[in-house]
Amino acid sequence: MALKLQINKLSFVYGNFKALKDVLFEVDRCEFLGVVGPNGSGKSTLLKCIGRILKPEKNAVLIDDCDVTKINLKSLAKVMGYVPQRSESVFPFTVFDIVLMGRKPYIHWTVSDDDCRIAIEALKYLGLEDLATRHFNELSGGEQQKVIIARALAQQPRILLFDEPTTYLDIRHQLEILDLLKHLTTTKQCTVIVAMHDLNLASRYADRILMLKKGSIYALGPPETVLSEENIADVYGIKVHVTRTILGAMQIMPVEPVGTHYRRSEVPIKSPPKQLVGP
Amino acid sequence: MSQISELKKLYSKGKARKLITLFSFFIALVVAAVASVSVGAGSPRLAEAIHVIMAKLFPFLNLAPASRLTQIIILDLRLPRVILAVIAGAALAASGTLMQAALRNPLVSPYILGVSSAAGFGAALFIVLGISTVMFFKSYFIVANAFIFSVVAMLIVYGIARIRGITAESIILAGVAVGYLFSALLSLIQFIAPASDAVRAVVFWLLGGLSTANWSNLTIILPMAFAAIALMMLYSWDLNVLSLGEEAATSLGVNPRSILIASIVLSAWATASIISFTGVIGFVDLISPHIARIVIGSDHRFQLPCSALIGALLLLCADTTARVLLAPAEIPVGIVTSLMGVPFFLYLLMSRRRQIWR
Amino acid sequence: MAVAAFGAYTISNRTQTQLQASSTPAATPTATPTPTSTSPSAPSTSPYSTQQPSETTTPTYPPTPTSTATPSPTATPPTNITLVDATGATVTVSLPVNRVVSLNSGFTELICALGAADKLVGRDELSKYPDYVANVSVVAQNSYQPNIEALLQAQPDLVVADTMLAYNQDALGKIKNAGIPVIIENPSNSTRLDTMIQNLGLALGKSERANELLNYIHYYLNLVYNRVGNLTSSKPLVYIEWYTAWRSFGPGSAGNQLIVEAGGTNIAANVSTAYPTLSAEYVAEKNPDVIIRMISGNLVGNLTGYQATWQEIITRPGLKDVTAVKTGHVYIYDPIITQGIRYPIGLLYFAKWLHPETFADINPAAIHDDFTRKFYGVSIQGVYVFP
Repeated sequence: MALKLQINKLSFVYGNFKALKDVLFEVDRCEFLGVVGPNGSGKSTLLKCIGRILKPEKNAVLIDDCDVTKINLKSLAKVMGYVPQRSESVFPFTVFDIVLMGRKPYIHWTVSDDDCRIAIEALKYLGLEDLATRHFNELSGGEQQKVIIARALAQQPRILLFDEPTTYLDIRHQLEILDLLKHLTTTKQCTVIVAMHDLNLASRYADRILMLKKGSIYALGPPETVLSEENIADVYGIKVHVTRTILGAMQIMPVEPVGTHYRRSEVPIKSPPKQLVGP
Repeated sequence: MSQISELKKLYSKGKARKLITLFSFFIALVVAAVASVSVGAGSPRLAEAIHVIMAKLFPFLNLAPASRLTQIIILDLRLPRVILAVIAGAALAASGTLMQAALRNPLVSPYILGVSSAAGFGAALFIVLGISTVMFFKSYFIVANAFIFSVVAMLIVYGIARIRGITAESIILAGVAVGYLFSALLSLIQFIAPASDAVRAVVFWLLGGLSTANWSNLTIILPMAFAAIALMMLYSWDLNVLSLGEEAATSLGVNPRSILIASIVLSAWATASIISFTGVIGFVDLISPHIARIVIGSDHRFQLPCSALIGALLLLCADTTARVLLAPAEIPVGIVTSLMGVPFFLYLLMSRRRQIWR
Repeated sequence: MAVAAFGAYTISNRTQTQLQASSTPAATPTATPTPTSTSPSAPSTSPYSTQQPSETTTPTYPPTPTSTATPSPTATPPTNITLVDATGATVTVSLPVNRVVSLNSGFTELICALGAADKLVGRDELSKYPDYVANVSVVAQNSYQPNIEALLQAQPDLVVADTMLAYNQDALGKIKNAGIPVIIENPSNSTRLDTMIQNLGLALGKSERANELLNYIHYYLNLVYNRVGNLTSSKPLVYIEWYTAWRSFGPGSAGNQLIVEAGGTNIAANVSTAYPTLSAEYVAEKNPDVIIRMISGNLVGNLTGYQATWQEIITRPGLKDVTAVKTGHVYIYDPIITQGIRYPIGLLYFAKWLHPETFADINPAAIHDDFTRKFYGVSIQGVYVFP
């Protein structure tokens, strides 16, 4: 049974800047929800408000009809996990230590056998058994990302939030991680909300896509509907061509040739100073 | 399946190793304490020390009483001093660990909150101008002043952080500013002092030392310091999680702001309860967490107690050396802690390949 | 913060040696600048020594301290005395006192002057004069930092310390808890000098010697006071310098007191703090007639040190053109001669520097030598003033 997640006219401001305006949507089954939009459209802010990293207004974010601002942080951590874009650890910890910290919402002082077992299972799920005793800071970017995901899994959450988890990964790792996330929705009964830049990958993996423009919802629906040429032109200001490959997957390609996008930007081109143009 | 049990075994072995390390430090501390009670400028040595202590603890043994001089030296002079060195070192080291974890910065010490300057100012206020913040407990005027002003400094830092946002940055900046403020006020008092004797007394007080150890002081210091350390240990898991970053901590159910507030309160409390009596003893609080981290790792469930034990050991050895090396002159203990601690730390730093921090 | 404390420590370390410096018997073979026996105007010995007070003269000085002792030496000796020390505390001392610890060089001198040097069983590190006290074991760095263990080990019947011990209530408490009486006095405070000498004389069973000392001191103090009191000319302006350039003595300080008693006007007499750092312009404007400078602790007893200090002052920009430098009235002194029982020596020097004509017949160096021979059993060695 999935948890019902309701976003009720969520607005959020950073100082004077309105990052989110009246965002309204609902998620009531285990699905892979992809959140797309240009830089600064509010994707990260949205995820942080849902994950209670930032404090939303009252009754703006509801889980099973409970206001997220009223739920105790620890209890919330037992149902919701958040994975940021990049992680670091100021002090040296091993991979196992870090994954074990995912059990913090359940631990009072001693680590029980159960906690150990769940942490190890999370490691196995991510294929990290061999790295368990290595130090976190010594790993590559991709491996570190997997460790953080394992930590989130150790929380045994029902909702997982990922803020651009594949930005710093190579193509193989990207596909690996996204496959894993998809797997979570089908086998572990999780709802997975992922902020993504890559529209092609989003179209392949997401069950639904939420497209944001300047802090408001532009479109919400299955990828074929949302990722249309008109929508993309309107939101991103780019002309694209949406096709289908032979195997039925969507493909989004920019239409205009290389070099044309630069002129369209608003930065005026300065002519080079006379001295540099020598004989 | 075998890999799971392999990992489990590794984990429990690691835990066992850490517990053994803690225990070894504890034994070392006991040995050092016994050695420390056996040396000094007076004549009693190990045999007399054991004799006097046994006679006191087990009166039914009916041991022949030692001379009054020996009893005074062992029971009233050395023993309280050894106990004070242990608890002071432990409390300062634990505070340092707490501050470094909460502020996620390996370079801070509890004095970053401006607590030491404020304590010095409070002490000087009474020593030089005779101004006291309490009416009762006459013999504790200096101590009370030092403690109260330490708390005031902590409250000012907290107040500033509340307005600017409770983050590690704002706390560090506020603490540095408050430290400079009280430092300047202290210098001002020394400048306008009407009696040069008083100014010298302030300078001696600031240098710090454990010679003020006596049983009545200990009845105040021991419970306060123990309570503070015990409470700090309760935050071990939260501190572990906090080192992953404020966002990660929030997502794991730990509120970074409440941890920060609790940390500065506990740290200021523990530090002030020591330095109000002993003056400002530095370096122990900065170096012990690092040595502990190298030896036992960053898991604060083990690092905190290990740091406390190392701090106690360091201060005890330093104080014993300070009062014995050039007897009857006593070297200021701060000098000896640095001279002893730094080479040991450098040795550890260079012999291990592992990173200490990022 | 730590740097400031360290800086202050270094400064006060020097002042410590300033205020407590005792002259080490100097190795310099050069004679003191003021000849001791060839000046025709000065008697070969001090005027005092021609008087022969009878041993049984009862003192006519300030009230006897409250005590249970009977003044007649033929009655049974008392078993204890009670006296009040500088902190106002009532101290009961059991007699006789055979072992005494001194935590201040001024007291060490006083104990020796009272003829009780054989009773000294512990001293502080700075007590090095007279030189025969070097054999006594050191039990403290100073009155603020006694090594309690070493002190108790010496098993004293009495401890005398200066007011720094009063700032260290823990150490004081530990000594008292061990049943040892503690007398706290400020040897630099000239107003309690009499009481201090008498109290210690009573405690050590040397009351007669104490009276001799008091008579000697009072003779010379009164000599100065009388002559200064009869002066009709205006008082010379004095700039007195402590241990570093421009650091002076203001109102309430012992240095200021000295100048007033010697019949001068301190240019810093109305400054707001007791130990001010004066601005150079102020001193230049005031144009003092006499400049007096305390020698630094590390240069004590060293003639070249005195010469260097003197040289620095007369060539210092800002002082070069003041009257004192132009007329050659610049003097360097060792603070030990203004402290404790040698206070009259210092006062004599100051008075002579400020009023040379009035005190033309006085030879302070000769008086100093007479004093040390009479009360310490040694001649003066080393340099105490320059020129």
